[in-house]
Amino acid sequence: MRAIYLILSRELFVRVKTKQFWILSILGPVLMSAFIAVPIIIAKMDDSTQTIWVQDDAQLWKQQLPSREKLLLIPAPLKGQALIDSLAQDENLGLLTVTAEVFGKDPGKGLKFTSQSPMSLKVQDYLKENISKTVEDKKLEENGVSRAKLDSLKTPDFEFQSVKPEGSSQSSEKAFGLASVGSMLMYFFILIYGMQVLRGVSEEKSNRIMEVLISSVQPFQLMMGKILGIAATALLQFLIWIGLTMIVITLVLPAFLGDAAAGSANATPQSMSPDALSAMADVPGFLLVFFFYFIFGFLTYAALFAAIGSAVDQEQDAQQLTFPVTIPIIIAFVLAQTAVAQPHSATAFWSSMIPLTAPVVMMARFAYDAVAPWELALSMVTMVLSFVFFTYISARIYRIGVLMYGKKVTLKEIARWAFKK
Amino acid sequence: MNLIELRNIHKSFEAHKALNGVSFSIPKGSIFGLLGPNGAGKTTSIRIINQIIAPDEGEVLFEGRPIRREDIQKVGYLPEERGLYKKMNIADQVIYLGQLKGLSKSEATHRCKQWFERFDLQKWWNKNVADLSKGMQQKVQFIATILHEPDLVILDEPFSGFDPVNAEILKEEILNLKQRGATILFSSHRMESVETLCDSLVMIHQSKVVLSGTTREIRQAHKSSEIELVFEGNTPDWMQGFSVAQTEDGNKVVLPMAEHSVNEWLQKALQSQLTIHSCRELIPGLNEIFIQIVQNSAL
Repeated sequence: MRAIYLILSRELFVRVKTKQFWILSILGPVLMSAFIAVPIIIAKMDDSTQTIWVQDDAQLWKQQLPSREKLLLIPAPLKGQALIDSLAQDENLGLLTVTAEVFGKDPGKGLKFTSQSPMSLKVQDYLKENISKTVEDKKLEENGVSRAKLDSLKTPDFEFQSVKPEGSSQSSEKAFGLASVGSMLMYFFILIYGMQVLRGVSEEKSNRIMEVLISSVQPFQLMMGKILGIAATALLQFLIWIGLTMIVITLVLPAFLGDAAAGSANATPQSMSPDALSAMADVPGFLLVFFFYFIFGFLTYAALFAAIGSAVDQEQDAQQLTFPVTIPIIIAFVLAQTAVAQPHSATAFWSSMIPLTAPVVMMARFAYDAVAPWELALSMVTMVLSFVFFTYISARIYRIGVLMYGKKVTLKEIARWAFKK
Repeated sequence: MNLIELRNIHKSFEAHKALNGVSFSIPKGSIFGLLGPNGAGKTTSIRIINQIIAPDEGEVLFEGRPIRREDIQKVGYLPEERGLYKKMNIADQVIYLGQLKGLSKSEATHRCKQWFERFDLQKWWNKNVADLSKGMQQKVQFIATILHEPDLVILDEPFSGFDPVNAEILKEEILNLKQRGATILFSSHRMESVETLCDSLVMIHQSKVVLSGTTREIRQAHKSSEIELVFEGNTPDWMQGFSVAQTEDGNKVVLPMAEHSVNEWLQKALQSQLTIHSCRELIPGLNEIFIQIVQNSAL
């Protein structure tokens, strides 16, 4: 035990001391927060006021032109050459010409925008909406229907509510966010840190320190120490991510963005909305399940990566051999997308029972509350069993692999090592 | 008393027989040579003593009883292919390796400091391996091997990569270890590099022991009973039957001791008024003995 502990601490400290660890630790939450913040910040920073002159030949707007904050619409004060000269001189100036064709079948034919730079998407969206509404109003008026009357006849927008049999309900938008973030993080951490195990093992081999190490400790202790040390590093990083993301979202963003955040909320991607992320805090059960699946999923995959790493002399030789190990986790990620869409389907069920795909898929299903307690229990048992099985197999490969030099090993040979006496 | 004894060890890898009934014993407190060409089975023998691999047949005794897992803490091993972590500072590595061999952290740190002072490495304490010269890396590796004061020190090709000055320092340290009571197992394919140090040795060729005994015994047993005389002056008539070679040192002739003793040959030479530069009995080096044995076994 002491040997495993010593190896574990070395792996952890060597990694935590590197710059990469801290860069990734800080970059992760920053990137996540940036997803949310950047659109808002851009919207906020763009505070120059744009002026559009309007030549309303169609008499679309009877009284006031629809100006708003940072967008000024005024009737064109000039005509002819003077107008063209002004437009050429001022980049922020545009001319909107509206003709009667705007009431026709193709309203776009009645709208012309003259400017040095094209109209921004936001202004376009705003004007489009306003114009189509105004045109609609005009047509309604001609037909003797009021806007209020029409609104009262329309069915309002609605959303589905997922309700559990017991009666409690959960917003499916929150579940969607939790499912996507959870399964993506699981996939990401297992793959990135699994590869680190492979790299670490083959590094010890190509460094030739392996021989010294296995004359001090048993190969199994060395393998487990390394895997557990890297698992500890990953968990530490994950905790830093959670902590920092919480801080950024709850403290920094609101202070930084103020009320703008509320105004532009619809500009943020749905899955990354603060609402969905704060849902993580609402669900400690989700975190517990995440940690369980991360630990056993990682240990299973890490054992396989360690076995591959032990079989090659150089990390570069490993690529071909890692394929059979990376394929299941990639498949799991694809299946998780299906599980997000249909958490109760047979595909989702079985892929959350098979240990190599379960960690990623289960995150998606669990977020939707689509897992019965017996399913969760069964899946957890298979996870533990698979950890024992794959660690046993990998330790047998590892023990032989670490002494093999100067020979390109095939998968067939590795399989033979696993079952040799 | 033997510290280590190998009894009739067999080991095969797939179709290749690496060791075929190898037996030898290493007396406690001695410097023991494990010699043989590349591929003879030296590394396999060492790995079996280190319990990295298990023999197919035969047994290993440690202090007269079957070797146990925990005996590994009493062994220090310097492999032929030296290796340290590239991105970890050297003091941490040495302390870590000492801890893996059972030292407490404080004890390992204390001893590491002493050794660094001894080898003049203090200012490199916090450096990475990549910053060190090859000779310094070798020293660090040597410290890591013996930090836990093992009863058995296994050195595989210890002098490769050392310049003459550092090789001399290493030799001294090896003799110090012996004085302290440690047993040293040398492994090398360069026989002459260790023959002056070894008290006894075993020679392995094609997975079998072909020669064993104390260094002195072996050389005496293989001496050719000839003397080599280096002289200046005209070659006298009585030397007609022998081939006289002219070298930078003077004329060189090899005379058989079967006809006359050394004294008689010298007397003859003096009577012929030759200036004698040197006269010595020809005792073959381990290299020559080895070649002789291999040639005989091939016949």
